[in-house]
Amino acid sequence: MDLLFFILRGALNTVKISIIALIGGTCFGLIMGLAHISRIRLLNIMAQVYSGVFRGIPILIWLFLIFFGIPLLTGQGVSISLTIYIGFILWTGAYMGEIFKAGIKSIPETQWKASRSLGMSYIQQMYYVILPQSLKVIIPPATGFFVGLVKDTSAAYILGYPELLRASRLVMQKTNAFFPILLGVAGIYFVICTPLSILAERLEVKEKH
Amino acid sequence: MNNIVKMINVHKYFGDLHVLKGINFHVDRNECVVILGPSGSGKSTLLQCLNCIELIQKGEIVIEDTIITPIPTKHDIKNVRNKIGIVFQQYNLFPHLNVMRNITLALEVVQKISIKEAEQIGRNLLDNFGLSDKADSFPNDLSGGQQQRLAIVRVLSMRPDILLFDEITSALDPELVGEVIKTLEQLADEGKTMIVVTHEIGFARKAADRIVFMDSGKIIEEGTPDKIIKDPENERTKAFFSQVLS
Repeated sequence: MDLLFFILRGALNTVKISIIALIGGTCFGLIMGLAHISRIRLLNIMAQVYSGVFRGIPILIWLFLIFFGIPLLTGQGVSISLTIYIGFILWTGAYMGEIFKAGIKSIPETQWKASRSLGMSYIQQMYYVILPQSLKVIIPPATGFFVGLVKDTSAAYILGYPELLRASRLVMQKTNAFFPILLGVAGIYFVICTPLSILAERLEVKEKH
Repeated sequence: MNNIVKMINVHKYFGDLHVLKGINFHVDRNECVVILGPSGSGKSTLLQCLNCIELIQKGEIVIEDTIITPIPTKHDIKNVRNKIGIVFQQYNLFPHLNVMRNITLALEVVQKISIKEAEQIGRNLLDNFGLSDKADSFPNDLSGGQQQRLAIVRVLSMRPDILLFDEITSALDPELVGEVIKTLEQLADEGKTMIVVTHEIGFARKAADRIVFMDSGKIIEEGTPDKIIKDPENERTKAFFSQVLS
């Protein structure tokens, strides 16, 4: 029974990383998206470089780079869970930045003109006019990305963080019941991800009409 | 001088393209000025420079007591946009908001008017312009003519001193043009200060106090509707009217 709890706690950790990455990464991604579409050339380039670098290297490597790199740079150690949060937030931010960029760009220039001529500030335009309309374009790919993110959090395993996969592995070693546990773990991922996938599909279908 | 709008030697470029070539132009309070001219003559650009949607490269624009230079301050831009309302060819309504919210949004967030008051203003205007039963509809459920009238109402709600109309009937089905023109005439009768870029010669003849004729980035001729339409002096103006009126 304790062992089952241990696995479920792992599952909870998986959900926890996913949600932290989603929330933090979405906020950060919005900033990246704004940098992407900014009129300031330097911000465009920085956003592009960031996005390219983060998306071009596996999250696993990033986790290592952060875990071993931060002590080298600052002389301060960094905890495993902090490494994982930072890593996944930065990584999610890079992808969400691209998604926000595409969403904002999908809104015709005339909406900017109209809201600007009514006297709205940039932030007001974004908040009341542009972002609400671009959500239609943003939510389907963002949901799809989130499904992938939940599965990719298994990379946290490598640093010894007790997310679902790592927790199960420890239990497997204790019990020797490899296959049933593995099936159980697969089942848990499936149960978390499938509703999200279905949601993503629904949103995409809705978008086409 | 009673000039509420003044352009002094204004030049505008889009990259290498010289769109406005030294425009000198003025509008008096309560005057309805119609700008006519062939496509690409710079009419729309002139309007968009007036409320700083486009910035000019040389010259000066004076709106009441605000002076707009090629590098205006944020404060001046804000001032000018408070004084000027513009209606566009493509309506540019907010499709995600209902009719009432399209009107109240800017009142609430820009002019900081309470939502209750804003809705009262909205209801009055919708009544005045025959849209009172549409308050809860969404823009895409309205006809083109209704959408354009809503766009006019949205601008009027901000109580601007000067109204700009940028080819607002050009995207409409021919049978819907009439209702929008009627709305424009209503505004001209009320003595609103307005600058109308249009191809509707009929409207110009009926409602304009003055017609300004533009060609390739310059003002070529201006005067009363009678004078400009029936007895133009400039060859280009003559050619234009003989073509559109034939």
